[in-house]
Amino acid sequence: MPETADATRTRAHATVGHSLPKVDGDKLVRGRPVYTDDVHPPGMLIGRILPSPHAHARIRHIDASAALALPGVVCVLTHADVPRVPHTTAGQSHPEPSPYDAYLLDRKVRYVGDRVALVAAVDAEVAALALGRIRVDYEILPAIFDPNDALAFGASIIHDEAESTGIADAKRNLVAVLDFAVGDVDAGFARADVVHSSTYRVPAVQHVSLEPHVVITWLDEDDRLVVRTSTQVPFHVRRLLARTLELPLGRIRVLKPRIGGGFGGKQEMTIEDACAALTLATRQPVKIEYDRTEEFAMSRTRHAMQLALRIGATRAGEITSIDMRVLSDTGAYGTHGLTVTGSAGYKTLPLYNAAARRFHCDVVYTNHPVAGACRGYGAPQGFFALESAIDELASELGMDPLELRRRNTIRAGDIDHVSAALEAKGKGWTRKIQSYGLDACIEQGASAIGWDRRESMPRHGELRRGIGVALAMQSSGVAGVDWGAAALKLNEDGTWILTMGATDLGTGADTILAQIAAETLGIGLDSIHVYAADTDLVPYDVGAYASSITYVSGNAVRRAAEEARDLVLAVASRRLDTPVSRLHCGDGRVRSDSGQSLSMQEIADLAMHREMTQIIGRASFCIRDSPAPFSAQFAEVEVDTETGRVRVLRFVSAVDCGTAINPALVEGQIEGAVSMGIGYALSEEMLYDADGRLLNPNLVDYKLVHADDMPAMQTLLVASYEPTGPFGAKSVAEVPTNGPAPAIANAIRHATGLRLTQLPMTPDRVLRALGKI
Amino acid sequence: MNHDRMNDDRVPLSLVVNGAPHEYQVRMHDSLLDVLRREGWTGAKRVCETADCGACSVLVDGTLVDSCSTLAFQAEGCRVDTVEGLAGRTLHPLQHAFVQHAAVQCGYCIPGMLLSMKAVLDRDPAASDAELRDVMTLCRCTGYVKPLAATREYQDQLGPRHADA
Amino acid sequence: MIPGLGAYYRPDRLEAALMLLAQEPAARILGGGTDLLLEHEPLHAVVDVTQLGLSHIRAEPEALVIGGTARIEVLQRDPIVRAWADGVLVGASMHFGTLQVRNMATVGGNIAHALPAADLVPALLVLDATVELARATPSGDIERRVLALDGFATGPFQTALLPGELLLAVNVPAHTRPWRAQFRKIGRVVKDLAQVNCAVALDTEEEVVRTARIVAGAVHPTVTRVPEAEAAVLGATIGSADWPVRVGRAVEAVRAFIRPISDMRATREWRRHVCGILVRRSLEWVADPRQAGRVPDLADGPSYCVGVQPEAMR
Repeated sequence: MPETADATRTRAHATVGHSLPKVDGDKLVRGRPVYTDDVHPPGMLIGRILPSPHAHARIRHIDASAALALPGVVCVLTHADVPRVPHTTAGQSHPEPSPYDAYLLDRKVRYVGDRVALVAAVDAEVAALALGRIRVDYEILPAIFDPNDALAFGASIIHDEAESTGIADAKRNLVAVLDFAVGDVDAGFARADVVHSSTYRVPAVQHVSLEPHVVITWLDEDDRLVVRTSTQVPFHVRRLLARTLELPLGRIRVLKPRIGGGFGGKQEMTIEDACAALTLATRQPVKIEYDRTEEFAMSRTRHAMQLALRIGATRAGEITSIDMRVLSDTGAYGTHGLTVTGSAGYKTLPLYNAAARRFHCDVVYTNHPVAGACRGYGAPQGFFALESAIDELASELGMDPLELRRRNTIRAGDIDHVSAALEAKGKGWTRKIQSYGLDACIEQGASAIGWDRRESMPRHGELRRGIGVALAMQSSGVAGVDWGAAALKLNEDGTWILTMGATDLGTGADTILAQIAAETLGIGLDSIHVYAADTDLVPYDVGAYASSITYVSGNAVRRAAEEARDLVLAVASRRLDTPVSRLHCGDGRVRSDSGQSLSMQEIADLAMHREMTQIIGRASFCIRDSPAPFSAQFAEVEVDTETGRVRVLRFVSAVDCGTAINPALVEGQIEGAVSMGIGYALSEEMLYDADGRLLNPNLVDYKLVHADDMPAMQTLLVASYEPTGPFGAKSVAEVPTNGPAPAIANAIRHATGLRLTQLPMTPDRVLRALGKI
Repeated sequence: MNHDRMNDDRVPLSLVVNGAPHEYQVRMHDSLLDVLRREGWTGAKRVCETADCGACSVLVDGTLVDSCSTLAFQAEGCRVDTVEGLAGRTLHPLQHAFVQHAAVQCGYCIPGMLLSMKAVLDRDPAASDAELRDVMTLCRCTGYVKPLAATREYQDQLGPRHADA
Repeated sequence: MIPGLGAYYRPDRLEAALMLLAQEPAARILGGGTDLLLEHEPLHAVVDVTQLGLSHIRAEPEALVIGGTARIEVLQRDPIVRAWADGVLVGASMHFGTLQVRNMATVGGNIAHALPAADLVPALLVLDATVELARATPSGDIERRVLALDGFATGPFQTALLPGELLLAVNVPAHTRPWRAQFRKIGRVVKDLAQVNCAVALDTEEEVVRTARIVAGAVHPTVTRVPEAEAAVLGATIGSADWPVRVGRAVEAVRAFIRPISDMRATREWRRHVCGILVRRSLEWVADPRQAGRVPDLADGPSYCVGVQPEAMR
C-alpha cells in the first residue's frame, strides 16, 4: 500500500529534508574528467561554424575551395550538402509550440552569427584558418533591429521561405500572438480610483553558464550516431536530431555527462546537429565547442521585451484591473518565442487576485541573435513590470507597498483564474493553490530585512539608501505535458541503481532524486548509484527545464521506488512468512512487526539466487498539476546620486518551495538566482552596433557580478506541504530569479523617488533620471 | 639564450605537474591551459579566455595565475599545481568543506575557486571576508554564499580570522 | 592559443634582451601578458622580459624605484609602497583586476600599454614619476634615457617608446614632506576596467597647498594631468571658507579639460560628470586630516565612494 501524503508528512524523514552532500561532489572538487570536453575519442576532428558577418543576407555563392586546399581540412559543408528540413531547435515536448523555421544550414542568414558553413579539420588552428578561407558572396538585405519596426508594412521579411510552418504571420514577422482575459478589464479600470500605467523595457541577456555549449559526436561500431553533449534535454535532442538529419531515431544515442551549468541555454539543440552532420560526412569523431565569443553571439539569449502595464485599484487598496501588453523580440528564429513571452503573462498575473486581468503579446522576429529559454522563462520580464507597477500604485494610493500586496495576493485554496482562462482556450488545466507559504514569506522576509526601518531612513545627501520588495511565483513543470520516468534496480549486494532521464545540470538533481528514492526504500543515500542520462539505457524524461526536476522527475522516482519497495516487501514476506502489511523498510532493512528483519543484501540474495528474479521498480509520471512556489524578496540598496551607481547592500529571499528535499541545495538555488538577478538588474545587457554586431561578446565587457559585488545575503526557507509533490515538495530553481530586479528597482525608488523602467539600471540611466546629465 | 624557442613544430617543454616531472611536446603558441588540458589535466577549465573568470587557475611556482593567458613556455621549468594535486586518497580539508557545505553546484568554477581560496589562505590563514571575496573566482551558480561559508569553515580549522572593518 | 606565434624568447640578461628587440622589430615585449596575450591578435615573436632582474622595489635616497617587471600584487603588498603618499599606489593596485591578473601584470606593462583607463598611471602621475628607458643602438651600445611619465603616453596605446626600447624602471621622487594622495576608480562592477579613474596629490605646508597634482583617467586620449584644476587649488588653505570654492573650481576645470568618449562602458556625459565627482571626493579626502596616512583597504568598499558616508549612517 503506498503511503498517503499525510502519513509521510507527519513522519520525520531519514534522508529527505536533510542537507546531505551532493552525490557528485567528490569528483567535482577533485577536477575529475567528467564534462563533455574532458575525454576525447581517438582521431577526433575539430568542427567550427562559419558565422554570418551580416544581420540579414541571402547567400549567392559559397566557394570553399581555398579552405579545402588547406592541409588538415577534412570537410566543409554548406546548405547544398545537407538535408533542408524545417524544424525548431527548442527542447520542448513534441509537438513543440515553436515554429519550424530553422534549418541545419540555409541559403539565407538572419543574424550576425547565423550559420553559413561547417568545417571539420584536424585541429583548432587549421579549423580557424579554414573559416577565413571560405569565400561567400552575400546579397545583403535590409535588417530589422527594433521590434517595433518588425510588424510595420514594408518591413523586410525575415522568414520569407515557403517551407517554414507554425509562424503566425511570416509576412509581418509575427511569430506568435497570445491573449487571454479574466473578467472585464475596462469595467475594472472604471471601478478603480487610481490607475497607473507605464512601459517597461528589458534587454537581451545571456545565461553565461561557465561551461559553453560543447558536443562530441562519433559513429559507434554499429554505425550508430553517438552524441555526447552538454544539454538539459537529451531525449529532445535525440528526437530533434532524428528529424533534422533524417536519421531513424533509434540510430541515435545521446549521452549527457556532468554539465557545467545551463540556465535554459541548453534546453535546445544548439550545435549538436552541426557536429553530427560533420561526423556523418567524415565518419570521424568531431567536437564543436563554442568559445566565449561564439557563446554570446551564436547560442541563445533571454528575450528582450517591452511591457506596457496598466493597473488600477480602489482607494481601499483593492486591485481591480491589470492589463499587460508585451512586444517580445525573439530574434532571428522563433524557438521558445510563444511560450516564453506567454509566460511573462500567465506566470505572473495569477499572483494578484484582481477581478479583471488581460494579457496580450506579440512575438516578433528581428535580426538579433536568437532568444530562447532562460531561467524564469519570461517571468523575470513580467515580474519586473508587474512588481514595479504595484509599487507605483501603492505610492499613488499613499499605501505601504507591502500592505497593498498583502491585500491582493492569491491565497491558499484559491483557484488560479489565469489558468482557468487558459483552460477555456484549450491550454492546460485549472490550477488550485493547495500549498501556500507566501504570507509567511512576506512576514519573515520583512522582518529579516527590517522593513520597519524603511520610514526612518533619511533619503537625502549623496549616498541614499532604500528598501524594496518584490513578490513572485512560478510553476513546477508544465501540467499535462511534462513527464518523466525512472527505474530502480537492486544489485546482488543490496545496493541500487537509479536510472532516469532527468538531467542534472549542476543543480543537485541527481542528489535530490536519490534522496527521494532512498527515503522511499528506507536505505542510505550511499546505497544508491545514480545513472543519468544515456538515451539508450535510461527511461525517458523531458529533461531539466520549467522547474520540473524535483516535482516531475521526483514523482516518477518516488513511484518507481514505491514499486521497488513493494517487490522487496514481497520477497521478505515470502521469506518471513509475514504479510506485507506487517513489514516496513528502514535503515537498509525490512522489519516485521514481530521483530524479524532482513537486510537489503539478504533480500537481494533471495531474489537473485533463490527466486531468480530481478527486482526492478519502474514508473512514469506525467503531472496533472503545476503547483506554484512563492517568494518574497527584499533588497536594501545604496544609490550614489552623484555617480548613479547602485550597490545592493543586503538581500533577503524568503521562498516557499514546499518541502525542501535538501535544504542546502535549495538555498544554493536561491542564492545563485539572486546573483543572476542582480546582474540582470544592474549590469548585464547585450549591446549591438547599428549593423547588429554584438559589442560585448566577452566577460570583459558583459559584466556578471563577482563575489565582491554581492550583498549580505539571507535566505529563508518557508515550509509548506504540497500534497501532489514528492514528500510535499514543489519547485525552486526559477522563482527566486524573478524578484531581484523589481526589488532593487523598488529600493531605488524608495531611496531616490526615481522610477527606473529600463534594465539594466546602469549609473548612466540613474544619473539621467536624476537630471544630472 | 637557452630558453629561446623557434618555429611551429612541437618542441619539448619541461614542467613539474603536481609534483611529477613531465616533458610535453608543445607548440609555441600553446597556452599553459592548452597544454594541461591536452595532457589530461582537465581540472583547469576554459571559460572566458579574457582573464576575468579564474576557472583556468593554476599555481605556477606557487603563484596563482590564469593558465589561459599564460604561454606554456612562460612556465618552462616551473612547478605547476592543479586541482588534481590537491587531494590525495582523501580530500584536502578545503575540498571536503566545499562538498559538505553545498558549495559545489555545476562544479565548473570549482577547481579555480579552490586553488584561489587556497592561495589566499596559504598567504594569510586569517584572511578577512573582504580578502576572500576579492579572490573568489567567477561563479554563475552559487551566488558565492556557500563557497564563502565553506572556505570559512576550513579557515576555522586554521585559527582565528581577521575581522572585517 | 596565440595564433601565429612563432618565437618565444626569454633572455636572462638585459643586453641580450635589448639586442633581440633591436634585431627583431616585429617582436613584442612580454611582461605578464595580461594585456598582450589577451588581445587575441596574431603575434609573431615575443621577448619575455621577466627574467632580467627588473622586478625590484626599493627606496633610494632620492626616489622610490620600481622595476619595470615588478608585479602589481607585489607592489600593493610592499611595505615601502604602502607607506608612500597614503599608499596611493596600493589603492590603484587593489582594484586592478583579479588576483591572477595582479600576480602576472607588471608595472612597466601597465605604463607601456598606454591604455587610457590604466589604473596605475594616475597614481604614478600625481607622484611626478619618471620612467627609465633603454635600447640597443645599431652599433651594439646600450642607450639609456629618462623621461617624465607625464607626456610618455602620446595617445591611446601609443607612447614615446622608440622601436626596441624597453621600460626598465619607474622612479618616484622622494619629497621632504609626505604628500597626501588618493586614487579613485569606478567600474560597472568592482572588478572592471575603469569607466573613470582619477588620482590627486597635495603637498601642504600649514594647510596651504604648495603643490597639487590632479590626474584623470579613462576620460581622455591618455591618462592626463589637468593643470587648470591643479592651479585652482594651489595656494588655497585647507579648511578655510575658500577651500570648497577652490575645489569646485578644480572640478569644473577637470570637466572642461577632459575629452571623454562614449562607448559601451559609459557615455561621454556620464564620464564627464563622474570624473568631476571623483576628483572632488578625492580632494575632500586628502584635505581631511583624519585620513592622513591611512592605507586603502578592501574593506573600505569600492574606491569611488570611500569616505562618503550615506545619510542613513550619519
